[in-house]
Parts: sequence; structure tokens; C-alpha cells
Amino acid sequence: MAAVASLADPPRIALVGNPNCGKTALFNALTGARQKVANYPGVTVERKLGHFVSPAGARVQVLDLPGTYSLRARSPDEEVTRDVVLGRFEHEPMPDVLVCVADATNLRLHLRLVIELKKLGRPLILALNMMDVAEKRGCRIDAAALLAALGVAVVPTVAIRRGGIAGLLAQIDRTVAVMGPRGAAAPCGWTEPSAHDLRGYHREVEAVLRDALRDAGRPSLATRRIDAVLLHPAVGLLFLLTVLFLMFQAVFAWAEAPMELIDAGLSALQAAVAAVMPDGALKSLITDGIIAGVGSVVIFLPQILVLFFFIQILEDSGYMARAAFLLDRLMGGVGLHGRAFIPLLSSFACAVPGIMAARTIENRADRLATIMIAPLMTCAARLPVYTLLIAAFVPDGTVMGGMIGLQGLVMFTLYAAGILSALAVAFVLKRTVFKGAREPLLMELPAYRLPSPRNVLIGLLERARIFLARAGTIIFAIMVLLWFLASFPVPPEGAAGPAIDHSFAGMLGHALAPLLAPIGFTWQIAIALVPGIAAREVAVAALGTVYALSESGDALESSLAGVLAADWSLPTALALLAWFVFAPQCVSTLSVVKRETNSWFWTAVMIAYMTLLAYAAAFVTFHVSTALLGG
Amino acid sequence: MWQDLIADTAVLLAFAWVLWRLVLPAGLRGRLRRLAGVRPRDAAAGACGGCCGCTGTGSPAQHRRHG
Repeated sequence: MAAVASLADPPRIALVGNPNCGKTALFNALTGARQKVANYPGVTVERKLGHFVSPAGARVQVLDLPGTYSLRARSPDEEVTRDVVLGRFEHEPMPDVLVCVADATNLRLHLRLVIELKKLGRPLILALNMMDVAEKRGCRIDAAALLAALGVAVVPTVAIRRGGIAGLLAQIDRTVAVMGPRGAAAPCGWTEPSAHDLRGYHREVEAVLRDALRDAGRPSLATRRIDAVLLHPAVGLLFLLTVLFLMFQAVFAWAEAPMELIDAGLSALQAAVAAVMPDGALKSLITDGIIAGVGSVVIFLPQILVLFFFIQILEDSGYMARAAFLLDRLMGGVGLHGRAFIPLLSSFACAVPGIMAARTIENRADRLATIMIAPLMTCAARLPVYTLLIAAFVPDGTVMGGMIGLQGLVMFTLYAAGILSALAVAFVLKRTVFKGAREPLLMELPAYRLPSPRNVLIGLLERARIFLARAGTIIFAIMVLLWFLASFPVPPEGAAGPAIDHSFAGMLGHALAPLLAPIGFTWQIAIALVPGIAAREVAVAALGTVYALSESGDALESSLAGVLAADWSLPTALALLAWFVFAPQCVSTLSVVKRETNSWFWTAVMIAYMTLLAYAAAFVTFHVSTALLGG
Repeated sequence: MWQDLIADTAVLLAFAWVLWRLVLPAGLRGRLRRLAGVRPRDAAAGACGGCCGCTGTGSPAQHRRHG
């Protein structure tokens, strides 16, 4: 039973449209939100709610919905759109006005949904988006003729630059003013259109286009020429690998100076606190727990921002969709669904949105296979762990005549290891538990766009906010707890060795040490791995706190990387890197797997297979590197 | 003494926060919120650890005023 809107509720408008037509950009322009936008389809997989006050003073609720080509939903994200539009959600009233967002450069495809929505008989506005690109392509649309042919209000927009928003707001005000009483829209008798109906819609679209489309335009010559190179099976793949390689070189080269600055700032802060405060529990908590722990993670902010600067540029330019096209053959070789690329790509930021993006995959077996491998992609939380160990153990030198930085090369290898292991796991899963024919990738290639500096800046600020919010919440809270566990109980009178040996954390570390000794991990690593279950980078913060409480004097003044380089063997560091490529150490990821699969079984399978892989990889790495390099 | 008091308070608060945000399942948290008369968070936000900028601890609800 659908909920019914009360008269007191503000009017609700829903943004509906095909994938990658600019719904979220329009949502952001209307509400002032900063939801993720990117130049490829499938970014929005759940409904988002926002508000704005219109120029007429009306408070309006806006729903941003996942893209769909038709109300004949086939995948879970499309079902969300269909159910919201048709008012099928139990706790959510039906939208009062539908704003159908259509890509003006491809009206033939987008108008089919407009026709389908019009048949619902509900207030409908057509936002003709990306008008700037359409005009550049020589596409000429007669908006008045379109209005006459469709019988719905048409507003040209350029959502990404907030163009046409005033016109759209005025149209929303007019539509809200003339619509019937709130809650009067009875659930319509919608039935799924048959193939015959769809052919009918197509004929209607052709009739509308005959009246309204003066010139369809064509993709620019530059786009076709660039695509000829970037989509070439050999040259295109080489270009992709080069881009990724340069990205990881830049992560180390560009971030070095700001990281040193943050490090110096944190050391100065630690020294200042130590000088000002008398000895006691609070001083230890601030210097050893908070500054040493949280600070050892915050230092990696510049690297995260450099990495996401590149990702944002690649997404906004339209190159990511080409990368999906290029890698489709590779993904198909292991049996993955063509649409798996976007979830896997999203997982480079965080596995949580990656797993949620698997909703765009219709077939449950293919969706499960994608979910099971998504956490193997190298998420941003692994970056601090990788960087710390690389900085500690990989010399800051170059290879190939000084052309390639060694540290960047190792980072590239770790990312490649994540991708290759994901493909290997997918290969096994698709030939055993998730058997089935492979479905091809059907994807619209978006137009190339010059990335908007504003969009890039907002994306980076959002990334910085997320990273610092995590440092200030999850990592901060866990470090305070870890400081307590690593400081108490205090050692008995006359006890030898560092105080942490006698603490709860020390006892836990020593208890776990025998289990982890075969893979070369020390008891300090054992302590760090436990809070690392909350979030991977917490392991770095935990190492910072554990070593701050273990050492004294000069050791405290050197960076965590320096302390680790002195305390661990190279095989131990390599084994820990191998562990982090596979370990399922993030409680958020596991809970979202439970939610998306609606099954504890698949969550348990993921924990089991990733832990086994992590242990095996660390074991092999430790013993092979010990044999080759010495302990 | 005052240092011990502040440190103990910080540890207790951190313990409560970790218990609430990381240990308790989202369903139980929602039930407790309802019992306390607080509107539960959006279901979509339930599982997110706030790492991805989605609805978990993502951007606060926006209210843009036009005109």
C-alpha cells in the first residue's frame, strides 16, 4: 500500500531519465547538494532526496532517481525508479510532478521514456539537457514544436553549468500552481508495455522528431578521431596503461612536499603539547594516542587527493566509459558481465558504492559475482597502508635510466595485483558457482567534455571532507580506545620491557602472534589488524599508537615509516602488503554485502575466501622473499 | 588527577561511539532510535561507514533557496 501525501507536505518532484543524461547534475543545481556526478552511466543507483525553495516561495522536495530507459525495469536500480514513479513504495507518497531529463544530443533514444511517462497522465516537464553539446554538434531542436507535438512543457537546460535552471524553476512553479489537490493522484493502472506497445512508442517518437528536430547533428570530427585512437584494441589499451602508470607516479611525486609539510606540522604539535602539559594520562592520550595515531593517517591526505584528481578528470572527460569498452574483452574473458566495469571502477574509491553499483546488473548470478570481487579492487583506504610500507621499505630511486620512480612502480604493481586477482576469482566463480552465458556490454559512449574545474574542485573537497571526517570520527574514537587498551593495566613494579607488553592490547597481540607468525607478522601487527577491521587505514593509525607507546627518545621523533624500517624485515613488510591486497578488513563493506545480497551466507563466503587468500598470499610472499632476500 | 578524569571521560565517550556506530547492527540501532522517539535514519544510510560520500555521513540535506 503506497503512502499518501498530506496537504501539509511540500510538493514532490522526481527527476527521471535515461542513464547519464544529467539528472544528478540537475539535482545538485536545484538543491545545492553535492551528489557525485560523472560522465558515464550508472552512477546513481538509489533514490536521493533534496529540498529547495522556488522563486515563488514554495518549498519543494526533489527526488533524484537511478537512470532507466523504460519503466519496464530489469535491474534493481531500475526497479527503484519504476516503484517511486508509480508510487509503489510503502512509506513514500507518489511524486506530484515528474521532470523527465533528456539528453538533447540523443533525443531519439530519450523521447521513448518521455512518451512512456506521458501515458501515466501525471504532471510532466521535459528538461532538455546538454543543450550546449547539442548545439556544438549542429543539432537544432525546435522547443515550441516539441511542446506542441508532445503536449508537455519543454525547458532547455545545461545542468552541469546551471544553465536554464531559472526557466525550469519557473515551470515547476507554474505546474505546482495548477496541479490538482495533493494526494489526489491515484495510483495509475500501469501495466508493463508489451513489445507491440514499445514499437508504438517508437513510432510516436519518430513522428515527434519529424516535427521538432530540424537537424540531428553529428558527433564532432575531433570526437571520432580521438575515439579512433583511444578505442583501438592495441593503441587504446597501451594508452590506458600509460595513463594509469603516470597516475601512480604522480601520487608519489606530487604529494611529497605537502606530506612533508603535514608531517612537520604534526611533529611540531606533538612537541608543543609534550612541552606544555605535565606528565599524565591526558598528555599520553593526546601525544601517543591521538596525534601519533590519527596523525599517521592524516598525513596521506595529499596522496589521496592526487589520486582522486586524476580519477575525477578521467570520469568527467568521458574517458572512463571508453576504458570500460576497452576492458570489456578482458572482463568477458573471465565471464564477467559487461556492466561489471562501473561497479569495479567505483570500488577504487570505496567498495561500498561499488557493491551498490552492481544493482545495474540484471542477472542475480552476475550481480553476485561482481559483488564478491568488488572488495579486491584497491580502495582509497588501502592507500595509507601501501604508502606507509612503500615509503619505509622501497628506496626512493628510479629505474630505466631515471624515467620511472621505483615507489610509483610498486604502487602500480599493487593496484594491478588487486585487478588481476579479482579477474582470477571471477574466472573461478563464473566456472563453478555462478555459471551462465556471458551478457555483452551495451553502453552509450558519452561525449568528450572538458572537465569542469568547479566540479573537480568540489569532488576533491568532498573527498578531503570524507577522509578527514573518517580521521575525526572512526579513527579518532578507535585510537582513544586503543590508547586505553595499550596503556592499561600499568606494568607491575620492577617489570622489564615496554609498558605496552603488560597492557590489554599487548596481551592480545602476543596471544594472536603465534597464529600470524607463519606469515611473518609481529605482535604489533597483530594488534593493528584487529581495529583495522573497522577500516583498513585504522591499521596505520594503530601502528602509530602502538609504536609511540612502545618506543621512547629518538624513536619517537622519527616518522612511523622510519620506525617500521628499523623494526621489521623486508619479507614481513612484503607479506603485510600481500595481506592487504586480499584481506576483507572493512566492516562497512561486509554490512553492505549483507544488505545487497540479502544473505549472511554470501557475506560469510566473502569473509572466508578473502581471509584464506590473504593468509595464503602473505604466507607465500613471506617465505619466498625470505628465501630470496634473507630474513 | 584532572588528567585521569578527562582521559577516562574521553575513553568512555569513544567506547560508546564505537559501540553505537560500529558494533550495533543498523536494524537494532533503528529500533533503539524508534524506542527513544527519534526518527530512524534513511534505510539507504544504514550500512554505510561514511567512507564513500554516499548517504551514510555524506553531505547534509541541502535546502537551496532560489530567487
